[in-house]
Amino acid sequence: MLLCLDMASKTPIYMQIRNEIVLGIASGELAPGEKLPTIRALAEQCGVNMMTVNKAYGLLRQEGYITTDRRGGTAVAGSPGAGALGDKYAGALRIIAAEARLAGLSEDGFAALCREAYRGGDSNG
Amino acid sequence: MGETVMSIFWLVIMLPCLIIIGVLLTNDAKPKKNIVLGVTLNYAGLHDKRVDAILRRFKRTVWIWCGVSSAAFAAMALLDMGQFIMWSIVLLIVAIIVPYVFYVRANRSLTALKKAEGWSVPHTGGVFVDLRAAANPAKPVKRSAFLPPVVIALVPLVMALCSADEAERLGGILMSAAIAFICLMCMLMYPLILRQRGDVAGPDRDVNAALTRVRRYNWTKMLLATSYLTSIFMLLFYLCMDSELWTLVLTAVYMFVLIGICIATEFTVRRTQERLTRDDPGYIDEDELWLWGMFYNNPNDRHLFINDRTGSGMGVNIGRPAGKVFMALTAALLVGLLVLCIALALGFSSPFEASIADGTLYFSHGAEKYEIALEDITGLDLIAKLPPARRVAGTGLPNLLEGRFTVEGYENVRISLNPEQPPYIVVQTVDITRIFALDSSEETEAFYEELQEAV
Repeated sequence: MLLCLDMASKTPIYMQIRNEIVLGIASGELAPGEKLPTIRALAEQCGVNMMTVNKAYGLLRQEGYITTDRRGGTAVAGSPGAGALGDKYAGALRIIAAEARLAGLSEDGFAALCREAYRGGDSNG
Repeated sequence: MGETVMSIFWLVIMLPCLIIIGVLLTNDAKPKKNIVLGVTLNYAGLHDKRVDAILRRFKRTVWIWCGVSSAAFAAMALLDMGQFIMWSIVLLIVAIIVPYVFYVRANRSLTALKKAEGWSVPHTGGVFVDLRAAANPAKPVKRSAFLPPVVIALVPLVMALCSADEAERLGGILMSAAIAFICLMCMLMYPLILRQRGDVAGPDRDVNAALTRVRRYNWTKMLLATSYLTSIFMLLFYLCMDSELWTLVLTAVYMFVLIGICIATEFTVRRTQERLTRDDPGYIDEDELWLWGMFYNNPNDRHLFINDRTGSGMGVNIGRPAGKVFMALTAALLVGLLVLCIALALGFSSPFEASIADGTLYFSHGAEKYEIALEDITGLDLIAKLPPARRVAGTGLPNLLEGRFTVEGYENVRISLNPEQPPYIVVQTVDITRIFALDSSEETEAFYEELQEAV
């Protein structure tokens, strides 16, 4: 799986790493149980501070996307499978929906966009 | 050794450098990881006739330049040995820099064409890392593999410390320091290679992993070979230091083998990159981060050293302050070398001048200038033959010996003379012995008489 980081983006690097890994898991490019690079190795590969990768891994671990074992290293845990979005993301989706409404997008149009984005994760797998 | 032999030897060393530069640069016109002359192109771009025309023009210009430079080298061989060496170094530096101007020109033409045609690949901009390849790195070689050459470096040191001769001791310590430095550099550079970003050509993890593995494996081989070869060469050089012929032969063999190893490494990596990505439609485009396709410029990347996108080379990230300093120092070093060579070339052609005024002997030849109070002179002699001498530091050419030498029968000697033009004047003081001669035998003899009277 290719991790793409836009160094000039306003999105923090740790968040970009987190997002890319989540996208990778959702698309099936990263299978459950698959080993991820160590914090040091990934930091060296990306040319970023180890703290940045540590923060991204910490967040992913907290969200249940990855697991860390002292002997086995870091691995993909798969989807947390809660069946619902957390409050944070549900709120973010509400804002996007509001913006879509203000932009003049119909409900069906917005739903189609959402469907496309949602399936984008599955269809690549 | 004759001047002609030395000139031929020097030409044999210099001319291949031009050919190597020509081969390396024109090889950049062959696509590797979909990159030609530092520009990432998609399938349509790589097969476009206009691109082909730019690449052909570039290759032709480089080879014409190499031919002209080689002819200039050959013409320079008619100069005095000292001047020939110095001017040829100046020409070599210019001859290496100019083709890069052609490279930049071709790179800009290709970039403009790519922009005009909208040839894009799926991933443009940003930094790409193959997570799977990064999670499964190849096993590195143990650092202890680099230790034996460092141990060999201690041999000349011990031998030098046991020597009774001061100059020999100094030479041995310098030699040992040089070996230890090169071997240590190889040892320290190895982890740097392992810490570099892996190669990413596309989404195929196996291809990415293979590209990274080939690069690291060849670097490891090259560093180990350089380390062992240097230590063995230096040891043999130290043992054969008295024989001019053997030192020359050893140096030539060492240089050719070392350059051969570097070239073999570079082309093995290039060939693999070419082969593994030949059918790749093109995925990754990092052109924005590479100034003129040559210099990596990414202030957000913590790496100071960065792998070249094609080949096995490594460059500096000029986006970082340390990278800028590094580049500025390299440029300053290059300019300094040019100035030094020009100054030395002019110095070699300057006349030997000696005079006596106000009870002082004045001597000058290029940068070698000194004065001796006549009352300090403890011994004066005119010798028809120079005793066996060995250079410690300075110039040792068939027609010029200048600098610090160990000379049989004398202590602490500085020489400035043409060994093909005896006799030589020996001036001894409590601190130093100076042996010099003027431009012709008659002038030397006349000055010796003048000096003898004054003393």
